[in-house]
Amino acid sequence: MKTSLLALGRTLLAATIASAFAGAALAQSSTAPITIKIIGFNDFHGNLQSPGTFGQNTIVPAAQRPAVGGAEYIAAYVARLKAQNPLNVVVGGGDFIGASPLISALFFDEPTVEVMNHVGVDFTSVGNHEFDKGSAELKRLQNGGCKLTNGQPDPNSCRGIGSRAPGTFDGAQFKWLSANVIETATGHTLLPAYGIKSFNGVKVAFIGMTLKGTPGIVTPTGVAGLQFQDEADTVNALVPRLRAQGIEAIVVLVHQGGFQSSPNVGDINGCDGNLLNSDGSKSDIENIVNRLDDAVDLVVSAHTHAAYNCSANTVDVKNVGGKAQSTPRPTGIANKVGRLIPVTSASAFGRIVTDIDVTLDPKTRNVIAVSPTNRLVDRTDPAINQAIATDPTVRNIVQGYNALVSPLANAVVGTIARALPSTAGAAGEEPAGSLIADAQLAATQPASLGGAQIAFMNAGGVRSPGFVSAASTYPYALTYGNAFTVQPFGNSLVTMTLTATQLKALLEQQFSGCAGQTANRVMQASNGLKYSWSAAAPACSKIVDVTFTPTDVTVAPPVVTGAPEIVVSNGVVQNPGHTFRVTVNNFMATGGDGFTTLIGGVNSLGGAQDIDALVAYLANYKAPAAAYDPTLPAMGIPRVTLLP
Amino acid sequence: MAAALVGACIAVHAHDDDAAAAARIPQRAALLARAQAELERGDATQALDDFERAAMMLHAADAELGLIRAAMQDGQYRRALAFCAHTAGEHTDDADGGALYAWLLRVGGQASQSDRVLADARAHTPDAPVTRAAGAALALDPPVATGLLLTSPHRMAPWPSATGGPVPPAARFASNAVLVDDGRAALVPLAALAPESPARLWVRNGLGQAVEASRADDAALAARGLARLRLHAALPVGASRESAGRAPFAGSPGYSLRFGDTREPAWPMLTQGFLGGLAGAGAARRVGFDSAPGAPVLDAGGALVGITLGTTRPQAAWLPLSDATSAPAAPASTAARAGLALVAPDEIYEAGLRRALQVLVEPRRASRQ
Repeated sequence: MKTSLLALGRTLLAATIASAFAGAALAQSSTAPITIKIIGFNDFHGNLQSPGTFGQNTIVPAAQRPAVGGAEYIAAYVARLKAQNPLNVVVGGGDFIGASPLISALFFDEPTVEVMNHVGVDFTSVGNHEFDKGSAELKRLQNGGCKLTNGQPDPNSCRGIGSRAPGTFDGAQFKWLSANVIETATGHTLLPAYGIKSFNGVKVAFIGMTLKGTPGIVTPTGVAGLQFQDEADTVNALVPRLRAQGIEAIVVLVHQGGFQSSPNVGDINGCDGNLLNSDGSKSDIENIVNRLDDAVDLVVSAHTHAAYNCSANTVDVKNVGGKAQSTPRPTGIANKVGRLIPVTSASAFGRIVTDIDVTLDPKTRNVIAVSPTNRLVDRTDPAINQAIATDPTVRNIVQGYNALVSPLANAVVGTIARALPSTAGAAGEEPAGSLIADAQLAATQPASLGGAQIAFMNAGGVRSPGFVSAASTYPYALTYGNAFTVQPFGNSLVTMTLTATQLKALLEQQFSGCAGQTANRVMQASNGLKYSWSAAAPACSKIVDVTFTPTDVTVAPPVVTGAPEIVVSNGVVQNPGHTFRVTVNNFMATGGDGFTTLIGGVNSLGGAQDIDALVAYLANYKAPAAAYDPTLPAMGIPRVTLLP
Repeated sequence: MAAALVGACIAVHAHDDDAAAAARIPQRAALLARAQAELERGDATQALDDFERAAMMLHAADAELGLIRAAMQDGQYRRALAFCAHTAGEHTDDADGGALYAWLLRVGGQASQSDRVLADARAHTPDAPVTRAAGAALALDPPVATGLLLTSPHRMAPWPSATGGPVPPAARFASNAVLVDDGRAALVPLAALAPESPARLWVRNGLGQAVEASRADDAALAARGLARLRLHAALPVGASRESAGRAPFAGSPGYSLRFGDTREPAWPMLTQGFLGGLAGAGAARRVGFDSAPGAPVLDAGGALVGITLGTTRPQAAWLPLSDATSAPAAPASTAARAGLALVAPDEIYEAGLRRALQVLVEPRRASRQ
């Protein structure tokens, strides 16, 4: 039989003191109490971004409440707490998903599941909103796989930013628990009733469930074929099964809760009114806890979006002259034998995490102390911000989905008449690369924007698959998202002056063995430049002929504006001092991909970003204008000729 | 007083019948009434505080809708939008949540999502007047709230907050305008003030904050078809940035916010697309999306960069602030944008709420038709 919380606290103190006297060796022995850390939160509702400000209590003036929440901050706070104790477990109280903002809802809440995988959640109960889209969809979110709409993969599913690969959805690496949700067809629980985690050989069970009233607050199709059973009866029926497995430490994760009330100021670590209803009757959560078997040691509750901490750590916070006056008041909610059980809730939307230290007796495997603290997920914490800067994984996932929420991601930016892959022909020319080089020339061709005559794009910056229709149907309307897939680096354009000698040297430097180049890296050239190179010639002597024909690529189709000029003939530069304005990206301009010749360029002028240049160029080829067609003679393709 | 009120309050469990439960908490009802009064007089901060306290007593739609509208009144569009997603999904039996969420999505540039949410709301509450009225208004471009949609608790607009005295009933909507110079001035198409200069004029932002203004002489601006208005009191610019740098490059994402033809306070509507190159020999540039003359143009990061001149594609054009204000052009930023090089439109909308202005004019002769 268990003792009261206060008595347990005394026991723990005695145990701690005994350990201290016995020395470190004894403290680490198998009989010394071990402390584990349970990190909990609830009702996240897909709030990957901050839901705003939140105060420790209602005394804190609105202007002084810190911004809270956001997935990357939750991840960082959980990581901080985990670092404090390697014996840890992360749990949820349900409603992680559903009724969520667009950044999660638009993608069927896959972003939230992916983020929770990175946070390292172990177990969460289901909540009523886990059933918003039905049990089959919940199972998909648990097990992974893409969402089908009308039998076809939905384009907003499997974006995979937080999964192991693009185009996939891993599913939840944590376990949703549904102890009181029974599939009528099978008589089994929809999802596992409980999860078990072992700490230094001591097993702790987590029973998860939603409120039995879920069918009354969820659309009928969402709960079709399911039965929702009484919460306390469900737990009590599981206790013997768990004990038969040697488990004495049992935590209940239940999507049901209460509110703080009279007479204090709703501190997040308060338990004002002991969660009683307005008329003094018991709240839903109290009704459940009052009937729980004495084997249950902790209840992590949820659903009401309230913050409370009814435990040995409860504080009564009063407003005394505008200042908070805090008084400890150890409490809890009585179970069926009258023992006070700690009951917590962490508000909602990722504003708060509950940090619970639980001390276990490895000999009896029983819980001997529970010490919960609700902590704001404060976005102003410098150390947390530093941690996010050091590991931006979750922030990057959120930013990735945030971009995809933009309707511009699917906006049509131009039309192509045929496939423009990023694969190179024998001479090194890529259909996608030619278009990009022309776009970069167009962006810098006006005198005020650089006065460029030639543009080069490094082949490595033209990402697979190029500009192609997934369905292989043409003409194809390219979206901004398609364009970004090919030009994802956010490079800016640089226009510089090169002499004809430097231009030839740059072209020679495309090939392995010349001026430190380590591989063949054929650049993509803009319209108006044509050259030939010999595969058999030695390094630095491969360029045979180069001609330049001034061409205005800012109009569609491009127009020749001057006579052709022979720059190189039979490997000889014809007018070594003649200069050209040449545009490349900032990566190449600083010697990237081995093009160190570009470092010698002069009169450099920064310009647009590559993706902007591409979009602006494609606007000339957007319906009702004619599609971009590389086979038109005006496009000047091929531009590179391979000689034996 | 607020704390005392809260201290006396008693909470009830959630998902009881909301109306009945709310009625059993008279202190909560008093708190809600006070919060609503604060909201309607434009005290968004206090209203947010009191609605939040009410929300801590009962998980019900009324306090959440109040919180959302108070957040909008305070210019916190993203907070309002996120919370409204929850309210619409949680309280599906309350038509206001879905209707408001659809409205906020639409004005924030998410038209297709707005349509979906409105359809869901209609399915849940087919007979609700608010969803019918919202549906009709959202069919307009831009949507304009009238009648039921200007009444509490269905309001789809900010409440008026006049810092320089109320806008007289005779004032009419004349144009969109752009707040510049740290909130001390506005740029407006010259044509909006023709054919005769109005007797008095006011500007009002997307938070419902209005202030009287006077036309300032600026020949250079007039040559570009614009006029400068000097505000009698500065309007807040919040965290929104004003860029006097070189205009964004062609092909970069751009945004604009515009009001419909209404003299009532309103939330402007965001449109989005890609900015174009020079539109001829002058300084005007093409723009790849519809707008209205006088609307602010924001860049990919939400900074104010210009004012629209034309109206609909392909004639739509805009003028960079650097050209409109004769400020020396700083180099354009070439900093790499992360990811898809896009930010969600909710961030842009929040930045633009304070920059977009309605120009309201009082005719020189009150009896003029």
